[in-house]
Amino acid sequence: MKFTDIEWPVLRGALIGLAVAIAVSAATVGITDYYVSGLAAENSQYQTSLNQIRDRYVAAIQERQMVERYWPPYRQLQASGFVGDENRLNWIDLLHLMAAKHRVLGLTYEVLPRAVAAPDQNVNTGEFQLQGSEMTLRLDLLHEGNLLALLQDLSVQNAGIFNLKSCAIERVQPEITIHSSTSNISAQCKLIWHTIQPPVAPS
Amino acid sequence: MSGRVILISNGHAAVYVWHGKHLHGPMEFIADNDGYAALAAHLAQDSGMVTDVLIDVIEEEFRSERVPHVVGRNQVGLLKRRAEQAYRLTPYRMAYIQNKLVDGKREDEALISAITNSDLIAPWVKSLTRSKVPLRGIYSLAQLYGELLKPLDVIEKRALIITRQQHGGMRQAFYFDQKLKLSRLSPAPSADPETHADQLLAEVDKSQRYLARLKLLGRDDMLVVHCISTGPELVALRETCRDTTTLQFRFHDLSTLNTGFNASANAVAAKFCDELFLFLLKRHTPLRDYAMPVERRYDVYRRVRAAMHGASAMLLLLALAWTGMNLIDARLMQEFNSSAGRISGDIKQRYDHVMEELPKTPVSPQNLRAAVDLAQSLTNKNALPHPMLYALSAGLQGFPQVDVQSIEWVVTPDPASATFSGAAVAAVPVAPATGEAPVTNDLYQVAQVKASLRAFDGDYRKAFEQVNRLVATLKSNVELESVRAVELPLNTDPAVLLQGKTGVQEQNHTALFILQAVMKVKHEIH
Repeated sequence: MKFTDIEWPVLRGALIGLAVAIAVSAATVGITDYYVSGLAAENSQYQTSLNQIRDRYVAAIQERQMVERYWPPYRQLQASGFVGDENRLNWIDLLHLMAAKHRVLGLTYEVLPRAVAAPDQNVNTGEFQLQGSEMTLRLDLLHEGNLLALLQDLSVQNAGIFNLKSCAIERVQPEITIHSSTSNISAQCKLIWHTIQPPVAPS
Repeated sequence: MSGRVILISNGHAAVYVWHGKHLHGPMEFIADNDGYAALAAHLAQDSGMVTDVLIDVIEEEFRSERVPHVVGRNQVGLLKRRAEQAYRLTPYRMAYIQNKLVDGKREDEALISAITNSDLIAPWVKSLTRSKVPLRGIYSLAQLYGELLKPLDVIEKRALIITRQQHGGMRQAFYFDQKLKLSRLSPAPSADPETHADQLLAEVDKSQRYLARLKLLGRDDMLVVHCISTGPELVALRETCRDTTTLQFRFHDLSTLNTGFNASANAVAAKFCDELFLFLLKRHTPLRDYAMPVERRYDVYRRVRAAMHGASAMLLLLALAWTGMNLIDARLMQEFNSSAGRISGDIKQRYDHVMEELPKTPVSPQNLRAAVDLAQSLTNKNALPHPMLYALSAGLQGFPQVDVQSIEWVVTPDPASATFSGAAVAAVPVAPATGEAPVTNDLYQVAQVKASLRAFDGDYRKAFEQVNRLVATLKSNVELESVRAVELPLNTDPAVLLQGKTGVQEQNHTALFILQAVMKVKHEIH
């Protein structure tokens, strides 16, 4: 059967019905799709803002926990002089105090200018810069035990953080005589006083 | 479901209508102009009903032919050509393959049939097309006898099935090996059962001779005749038709035939097989028919219309479902949007509350942590000489003859590169030397002890023994990673100059030696 032979009037009703069905279907689907896509865009915005505020809230909680945990020890570090500028006067006062306490007959010291120090690789220094000042102590002692006691005492004072690098102890008298005003032992120790500089706050 | 069947016989047409399982009719029409017009008028009342035409006319011929074995479109073309060659003068013809690869040859056996007088059908069909009635097909009564083989239990090689129709007459269908070979219709005008029985015997005799001429029946071959009838006519047939050496009769009562067909309540119709064939046509419509495509076009239109209506309905259903899903999505999204705004507000309030409670710190929380961690790391790295001096002191306790003159102590990550005043003396490596700096964060304290032996009498062998014993004693302390004598009282290295003097007056001997010990710095664990 050729196309021109088709009796279209016989099919007219069905064709009109199909056309109406296509039009109605397209219209209803199109309109509701348009409506839903608008809601979906709105939905996406709500979802994004909800995620953002949720992330900020979680971050705030974590910051609060971090502050609760690290703020007190940080303040102690501030008080000890580890955070901020060096307080060399404190160190000298402490040395005088220790020398008197541990019967050091003679004490000389020398502090080199402060320099940038390298921290351990696996330590996160944040925005701080680690600095160090090398101090050399020369002590005249009655006994090596005085040196050990002084170093031990120095390490537990809240006067900053230092790392002892070396010590050399030498007997200056052939025989050790306690209760003498003459030194039996001379010692020389090198240690590094560490400080950190907080980041400069933006103006 | 409704359907219409027009049973056309010579000079007559009867219209039947199926409503479900119930057959209504017949509405009868005579084959003249008035009859054709009346049929058209009748059909116009319900022109949309699907209609089958069933032909029961004398002018139907059958022919068996051998054709080359081909398949697919070639076979269709071949059968069409053979049918055209065999029956040129009628458009109502058909052919199909009955047996494939006959006698082991590449030949098939085809049955070709045709309504040789198309004028018997064409006017009726015109009435249908004029009324735009959907004609499904033009079928022959002979095509339906195959449906009777099983109910009649036809198992014979050669069988003749005889039925009687109200207007058509007496039709015989010959089956050879269960395959239809020919069918012929003869008038059966007599209403008297005995006369009809005699006429049946005469027609069977004619058929025997005709089959013999076609070489479908040998002289001694047995022909089994299955007669379908009912009532007095069946009784008369049983009495009249007697078996012979070449003829056997089987009689089947139309009213009790096991086909699923229920005989009509109409007493006249119940005597004939017309309704049986209408039933068989409804139950099993043959695949082939005599109708030309142009005559079937309104059935094609009907199918197209049905398909379009179906497509329209499907489309609307899909659109409805899609729209429904969209509306459900929209509802869910609206609910989410409203709840998301509320939840965001709640979280924002809590966030603001947390931020208000957060103490003001000079640096960020991350930097607070960094400062504390850094301080902890430096504190852990701090080492005091106490453990080393205690270990050396413990080792020297058993050696009062040893006079310690100085101790140098350093902290280093690499003991092998430790240097001391006076001379750069490397300590003993605690790990296999690889030529590279150690990669661990371990720290070591290394001590170099300069000492001498008191009351040394110049016996270097004894002095060596005492120093070695001291080294061994120190090594027994597990806290010391390594201990070795860097210098002995006498340097016996063959590469250096060795000087000295000996004699009874020589008393000022010295036995200086240097030891080096390595200990790992123990980090405090926080």
